Amino acid sequence: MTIIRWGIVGCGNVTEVKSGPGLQKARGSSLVAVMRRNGDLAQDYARRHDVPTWYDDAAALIHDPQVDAIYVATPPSSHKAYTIMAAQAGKPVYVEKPMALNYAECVAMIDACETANAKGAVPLFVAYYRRSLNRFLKIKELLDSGAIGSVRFVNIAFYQPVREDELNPDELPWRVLPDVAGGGRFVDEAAHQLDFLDYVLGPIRTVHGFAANQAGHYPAEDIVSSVFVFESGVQGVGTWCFSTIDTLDRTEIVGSKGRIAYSTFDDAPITLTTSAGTREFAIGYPIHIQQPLIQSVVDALNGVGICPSTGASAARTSWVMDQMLTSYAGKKVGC
Amino acid sequence: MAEMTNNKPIILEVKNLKKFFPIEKGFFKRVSGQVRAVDDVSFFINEGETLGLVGESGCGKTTTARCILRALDPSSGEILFLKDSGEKVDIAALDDEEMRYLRSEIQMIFQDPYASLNPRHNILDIVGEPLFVIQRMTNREERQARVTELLELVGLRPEYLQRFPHAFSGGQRQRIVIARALALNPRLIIADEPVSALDVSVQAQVLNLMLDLQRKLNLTYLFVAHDLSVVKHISDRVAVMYVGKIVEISPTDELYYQPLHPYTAALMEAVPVADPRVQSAMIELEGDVASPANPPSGCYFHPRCQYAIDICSKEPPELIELRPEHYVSCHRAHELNLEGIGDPTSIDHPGKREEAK
Repeated sequence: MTIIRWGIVGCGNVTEVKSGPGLQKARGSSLVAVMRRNGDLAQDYARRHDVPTWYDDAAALIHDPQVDAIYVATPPSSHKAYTIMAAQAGKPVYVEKPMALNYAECVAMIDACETANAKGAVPLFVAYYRRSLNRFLKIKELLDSGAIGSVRFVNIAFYQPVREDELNPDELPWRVLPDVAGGGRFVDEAAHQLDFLDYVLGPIRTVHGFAANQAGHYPAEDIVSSVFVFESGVQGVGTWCFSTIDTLDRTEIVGSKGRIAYSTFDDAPITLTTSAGTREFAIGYPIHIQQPLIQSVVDALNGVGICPSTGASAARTSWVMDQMLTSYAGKKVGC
Repeated sequence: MAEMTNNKPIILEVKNLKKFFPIEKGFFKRVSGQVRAVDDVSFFINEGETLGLVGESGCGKTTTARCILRALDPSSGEILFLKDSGEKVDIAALDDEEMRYLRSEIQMIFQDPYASLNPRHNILDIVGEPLFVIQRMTNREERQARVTELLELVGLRPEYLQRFPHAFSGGQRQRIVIARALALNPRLIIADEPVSALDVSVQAQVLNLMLDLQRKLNLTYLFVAHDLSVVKHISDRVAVMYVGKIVEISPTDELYYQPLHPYTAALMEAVPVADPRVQSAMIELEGDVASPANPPSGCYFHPRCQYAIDICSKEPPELIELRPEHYVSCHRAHELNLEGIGDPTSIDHPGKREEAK
């Protein structure tokens, strides 16, 4: 198998455990360069993770001939620029989720990857890694096997308290700044839930949403309610609130012969309830949670497999979130 | 293997020809293996002779033909051609400029006359193009006179000169293709399935035209085909290919009458016979053709061969001359008594036959 030599643009937190070691440990994959605007931090990351080369300039990393493929792990506001730069350099891109600030940027990224390079299209993958995790593949297996019959509807309830670092208006985390993140914590977390539903139930066709900021701690929305309909006719409803007293992470997929309930972010057992009773499936997460999806990306680049999370699939999720946020003035919806 | 036979010189001798295509995988198109399309092929053709090259689709016969024309560059091996001047050249080693001049002596007839004629050019331009490009015949009247002569040679009327390909039938189009191939007075013509795209009724006309031209012009043919009846009709000798290798070469009648290789016998079995009373007694081939990207060990044919023994899966057999001018690549050829198609005078109906009970 050919070794894909990766370079990371933005070796921040997400790359410490979730993805960076995954790039090193996946079969046929190696991490050869990292970049961060703060060169000291880039150098420190390279030293700690045994990466041979570091940069403080993204263009230098992208054009490094020793780098075959680019992993863009910066906040969403720079995904588009770095993806286009990599595409023009003829290098495949694996970009963090959410794919971009909005759907319009996603389309621009897809276009760039399809047309920017004279040698042809470059592949574009997005880090919706739940599509490759055993825990979520079990849910897909149950649905595909007809364990709950025909799917009727989906119900998402996701509540979290305000975080301490969101209480200081002078030092807000980028995840609640729409100009950087494309929205608030809804965009960061609901993206995973909605993308997985896209994977197992198909694209969402119609969306209506209501978004607001009730607690007033930061510019982004902190509550979203939505109803949506999949192309298959399955209906859905969801409420995401980020200023509650406690936490709830529950998605329920209800079918004609049963229902599946699961948590998207913690490791509570998946429950399957049918006329035969309730079964639980306790399936945890790997240490390097992105490694299974990274493996599929590497396999796809080597022509020995496919990756389930592409620019096209991820753009659909961005479109759905855009529709849910259209009522919120803080969201810049591209189209 | 090569020698002068029937006092005619060898015009083409292919020695250990190999053409491997890299298998590229993934976005980076890195080579992960090779398709051994032509795998150590050797044969010769005497001047004025027709050698039929037969085998199933994908066996490497067209790739062999294209290597001889240098439409594909061989991976290794020699392709020795006896030029009109008497000089012997290795086609595999010639550069583009040298090939350009040699191509006047070697021409090709392609399979599909519907695809090999430019629909925007009239017949004068199509047939006259090699005269203009290779022979620098810039005088249009002179070119028109030569094209007229060529059209008459292939049985087409001179008044067709200004017509375009769409105005012709399949058989007529293939005659135009032949006329174009003859324009430069070639000595060797490589015909790649030249009649397989034609109606059966027209096939015989084109084959007879090729035979007639061969007699008139002392042409040498390498005739690539999968239809054994057609090959029988036109060939002096036949080479049988399987997964990139030649497994048997023989004078035509002998090959059909007494095949030495089980694959050759099986190929004959596959020829349909338009007689409901005729019943086949031979065992049909089972399994799929081996992959040239991952051929089996030993004899490539052994997984499908009913006669295979231990050695067949371990050692590749050599191509040996088991009978005069009859070469075969089979460990058991000396002991097998394969049945051909009966009386060589009745070869027009190939396949072993028994009267239906």
